[in-house]
Amino acid sequence: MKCKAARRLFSAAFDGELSASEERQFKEHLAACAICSREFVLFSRSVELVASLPRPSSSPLFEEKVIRALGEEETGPRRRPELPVPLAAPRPALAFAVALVLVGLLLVAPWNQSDWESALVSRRVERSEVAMKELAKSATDVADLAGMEKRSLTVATLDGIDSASSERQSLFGEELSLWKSKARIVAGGSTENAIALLDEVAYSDGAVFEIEFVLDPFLFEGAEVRRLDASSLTAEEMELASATF
Amino acid sequence: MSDLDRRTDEELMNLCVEGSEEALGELVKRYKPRIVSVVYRYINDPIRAEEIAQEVFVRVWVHREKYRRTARFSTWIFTIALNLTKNEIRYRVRHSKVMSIEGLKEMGSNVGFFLRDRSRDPQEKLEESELQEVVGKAIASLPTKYRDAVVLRDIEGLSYEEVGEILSIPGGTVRSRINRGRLILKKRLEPYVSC
Repeated sequence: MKCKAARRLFSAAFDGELSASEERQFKEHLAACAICSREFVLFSRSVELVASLPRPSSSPLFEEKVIRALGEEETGPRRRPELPVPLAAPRPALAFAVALVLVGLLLVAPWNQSDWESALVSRRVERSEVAMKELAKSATDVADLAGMEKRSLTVATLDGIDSASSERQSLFGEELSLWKSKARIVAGGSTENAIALLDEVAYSDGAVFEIEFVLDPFLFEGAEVRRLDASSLTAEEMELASATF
Repeated sequence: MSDLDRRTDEELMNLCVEGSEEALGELVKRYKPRIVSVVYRYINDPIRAEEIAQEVFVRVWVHREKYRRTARFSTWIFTIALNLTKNEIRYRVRHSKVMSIEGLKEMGSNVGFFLRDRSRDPQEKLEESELQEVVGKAIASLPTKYRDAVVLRDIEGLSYEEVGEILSIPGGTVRSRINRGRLILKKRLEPYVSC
């Protein structure tokens, strides 16, 4: 068993959910691999820490309030209570700012670091059929972006991205690729260039993508791209998803 | 009824269907801490978490005739709780247009609100509450799909099967989401745990 396979079994091992043969292989691997052995100890302790969080207390009037609400339910529709704390006022530029902050977080991480890093970038842009066609017809549009090095780009159609599908790519060296339907767009060079390229692609085709970058040698390396604009998510929910990552 | 505390959840729910408010009261007693807790881990707002939990029990009563007698009560009530919580998140987003990072930080700052233990000395109490705040924020910052799985499994102690039923995802997906969520948390909490 290799380290990557062993770490996929951490949870099942912690919960005692391994089959007999998996358990034997897992134990053999830990006995032979000091790094995974230590990682499993840390993993177990962090799960125990999460599980040890005390439950929040609740008001002694809880039951009484439920009974009162039941009574109101029977006498007529209830109005939704106002939020106790007003949330932030609308800010037109905030969507862009949130994305910038998240991209910035990516930039501070070394591209080839052996440690775990991931980030999520969500974009909302106006749908533009013109931009989509332009991207499809010309690889040069992408390659001409300042500082970009285009390694490969083959375009068949951009219309076939299923809202339910997601595609994963592997990182090779310092490349980061993004599949758009049958088009594989590979960014090379610096981290900034790679991210900027994918960012530009996400903007230029007029669709809404969620791009998750994952750098973890033991799990998965690459970018998971999901198309979100065809789903039931609203743009505001997208922003929340971005900000909570 | 005096023997309500010996009845199973499902038996109590069947009594609710027949109109027993006492049976609902027993279910409230059993599930109140768990429902408040799971909602709180999502929205980090202790007051609103309690209001939503109350609403969950109201929904249980109002929709009691829709309860399938073959289903586990726990999966049914947690499904209601998650749906109401996600409605709350949508409502907040809709009424704030865009959630600011500052707003989220403010929500996150409430994490330690309920977590203090008054039996410890002040220094120890402070360190523990800070650690709990860190853990709470780490959970709250997980991507939703991983947070769903980790909260139900590690905070609520539900089985993999129950998590799958509540989230309507197959067993393999449950396992991978729990593992991935825990690995993210392990990374974020590594400075606070040691070998």
